[in-house]
Amino acid sequence: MHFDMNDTNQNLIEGHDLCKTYRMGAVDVPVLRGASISVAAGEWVAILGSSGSGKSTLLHLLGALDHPDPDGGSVRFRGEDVNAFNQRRRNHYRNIDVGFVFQFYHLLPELTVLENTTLPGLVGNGPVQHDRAAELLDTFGLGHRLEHRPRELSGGERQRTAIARALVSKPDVLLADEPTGNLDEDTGAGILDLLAAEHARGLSIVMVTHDRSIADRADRVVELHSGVVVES
Amino acid sequence: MYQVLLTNRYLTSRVIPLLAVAAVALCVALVIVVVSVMTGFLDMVKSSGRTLMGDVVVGYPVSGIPYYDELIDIIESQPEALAATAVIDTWGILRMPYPDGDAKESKAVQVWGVEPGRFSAVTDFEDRLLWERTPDEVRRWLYDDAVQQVAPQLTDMLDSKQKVEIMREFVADDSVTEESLRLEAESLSRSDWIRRIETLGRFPAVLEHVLTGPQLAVIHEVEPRLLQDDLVLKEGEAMARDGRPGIITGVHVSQGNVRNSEGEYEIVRDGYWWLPRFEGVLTTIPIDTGGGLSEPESIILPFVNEFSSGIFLIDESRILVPLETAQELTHLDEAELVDLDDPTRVVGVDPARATMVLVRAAEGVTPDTLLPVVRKSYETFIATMDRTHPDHVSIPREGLNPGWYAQTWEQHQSGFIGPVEKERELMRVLFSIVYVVCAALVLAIFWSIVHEKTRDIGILRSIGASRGGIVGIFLLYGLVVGILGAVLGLGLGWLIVTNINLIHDSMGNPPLALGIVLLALGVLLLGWAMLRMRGAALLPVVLSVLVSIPLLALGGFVLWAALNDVGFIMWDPSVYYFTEIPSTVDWGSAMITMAGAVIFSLVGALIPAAKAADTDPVNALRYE
Repeated sequence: MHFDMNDTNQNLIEGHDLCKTYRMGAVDVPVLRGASISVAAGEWVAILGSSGSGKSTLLHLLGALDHPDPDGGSVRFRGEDVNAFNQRRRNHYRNIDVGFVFQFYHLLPELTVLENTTLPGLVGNGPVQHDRAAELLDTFGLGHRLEHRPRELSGGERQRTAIARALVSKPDVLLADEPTGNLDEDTGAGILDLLAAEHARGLSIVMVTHDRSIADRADRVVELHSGVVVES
Repeated sequence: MYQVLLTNRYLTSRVIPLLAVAAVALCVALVIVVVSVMTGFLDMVKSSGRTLMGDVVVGYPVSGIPYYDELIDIIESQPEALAATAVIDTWGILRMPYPDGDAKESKAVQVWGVEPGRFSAVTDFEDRLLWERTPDEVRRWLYDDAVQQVAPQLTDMLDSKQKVEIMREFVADDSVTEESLRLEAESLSRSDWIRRIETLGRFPAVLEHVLTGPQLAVIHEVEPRLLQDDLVLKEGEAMARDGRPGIITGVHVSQGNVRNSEGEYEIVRDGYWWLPRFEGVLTTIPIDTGGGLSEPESIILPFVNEFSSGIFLIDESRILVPLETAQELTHLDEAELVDLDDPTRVVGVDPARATMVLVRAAEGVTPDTLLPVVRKSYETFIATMDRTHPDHVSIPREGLNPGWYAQTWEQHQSGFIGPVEKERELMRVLFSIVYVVCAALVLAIFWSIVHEKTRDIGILRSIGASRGGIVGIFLLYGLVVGILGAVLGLGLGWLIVTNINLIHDSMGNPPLALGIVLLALGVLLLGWAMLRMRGAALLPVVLSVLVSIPLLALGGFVLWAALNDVGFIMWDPSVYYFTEIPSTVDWGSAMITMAGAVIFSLVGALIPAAKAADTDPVNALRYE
């Protein structure tokens, strides 16, 4: 990991007064109304919120997949203003600095498990980390599945592949959007154990969930109510 | 390069890109076939146009160019020129030998007076002669012609034994005794015998059997073509028979030649109207020195051979006669100039003239390079003539004599090469629309591919792929589809073009086996579909019914056509005057077509690719 293990108080990623309004037909639907969040290096933060509370949107803003409204706050990564990134830096941010895990896995169906996992390296024009990808997959219990297509895997296996893909570039923070949302309880628990193990090795995690019991696996839980973050 | 990995996977795991490749391949093949055939056709028209023209023509119509031999010498001394020859070009009326009876047909013809050997050196005219040997079906008519001429002579040479043999040929009853035949033979008069011999002219086999060597020699003497099979060719090359000047006509001048659907010439009435059997009367109206008409000149000339240039316009109207004959007919031959006040006093000689001089370029010299050389030679010719000859003969020259010209063969023949050239360009333009169709197909197919892959695009963007990278995937995809399609299309086009005559022949004469195989396939497929009808899946049934119907229809049609001996002939040689459809790929056009297909595939891919790159990653990820 890139960050200093001893300096846990330094904020790795911060969102300040984030506002985001979606337009649905003629109606403006405000989703975030000045949400602020800060995550320290090595910290595991869960964002708890009901369906439609804007928790995924908050995660997308932190991961620079989406832009906040104009004058709608800022996202800072290691003190840098993410919204001010140019395209190249933004791509690099998504490719290297953060790793994304989605509820629906989002693997490319035409690629094998190993190819899906090495994809960030290919996309970032960096070295193709075959060994690291294979090692990660092996750690996640997928060593025998490297040449399989996603459709041949179970839900849990797919999500573990997605996590391996998110971690292959050694990001500073993992952004997980309902990582267990599509899985049964046992499989979900297995995924959370895996995240906990990575967290124990120093990985920072921001996890979005609607489930209190899952959120409780994190170091710290914040709640999202009416587009504003409330410490719980 | 993840683009390479993804393009590879997208191409190999989906049917849609294969459809795109097939569409591009079909478009490319279509254009290659059409342009190749049109270009081949144009080349054929051009090369046949050149055959009777040489490369460059200098001419002064009607009055002609005097001292043309000196001009030819000057031109031939140039390294760029291989040979040159003088030609008289005029119009005339040719009285044809047909129909039977006295009211013969006359035909307006373009008369070219040529020097046989030199003309051939410039135009390869000898290769265009139609009759290299006497056709078999004509022999009996030649025999008959000869026998009619020498019947009295033959009659006088018959001995009594021969007479009895001949008598037997005229008696149907085999039981008639030798003695009664002999008595009947003696009772016949000489004129009766002449008539009998004339009748036997139609039956060469009988005569050959009855007559002795010296008697047959009499027949062969008046018709040496019976013994010398290639004499007709030699007479054609010499443009003469028995020391008499002869006429060579274009193959369609005579109504006696009919082109069949195989593109070969058949002689009307089983060889009877073979033109070299006959003589024709050629009439021209010479123009006098004042530009007015003189009394018509007529001459009887034997037809010695026919030629086929490959261009209908020429073949139906042009006849060739020896240069001297044409000069006499047009009063352009050498003449004495007399004193107008005292016609008995010769004051000089007016030289013979030629209305055109045809020049053939040396190996590797283009007509366009040769033309200025010929013009320069003509200037030299004028300068020499002005110096060495008396000033009463003026040499026509550019500017002074508006009719004077010097042209390449293409300029001279532009009347009929032009339209074919325009036609090809029109075809090229029309079929270039196929490129747009190709681009539209690729666009539609890629649009659907991008649509299908929207979520993948979101995923790739979420792990840091740039917009350029996304565009790259689909452009690479378009490039591969374009290249694969172009190469497959070239292969398909090449297969069609090189086998086009085979394909066309089997359309005209459909093979029975093909019909049976197609029908059998159709029946099998339809039967299989019927069996599957009760199964759950509808798609295989629909597909097999859809395929089996055209198979059955085509098979049925082929079978019907084969059994009834009906075929579909598109390239009718009696219309196009070439027996074969051009069957060489025009590689230049093929390369341009392929490049066009690749470019248009890229253009077709570019728009969906840009759309893909612009897709917001969050929206793309939500896309299901």
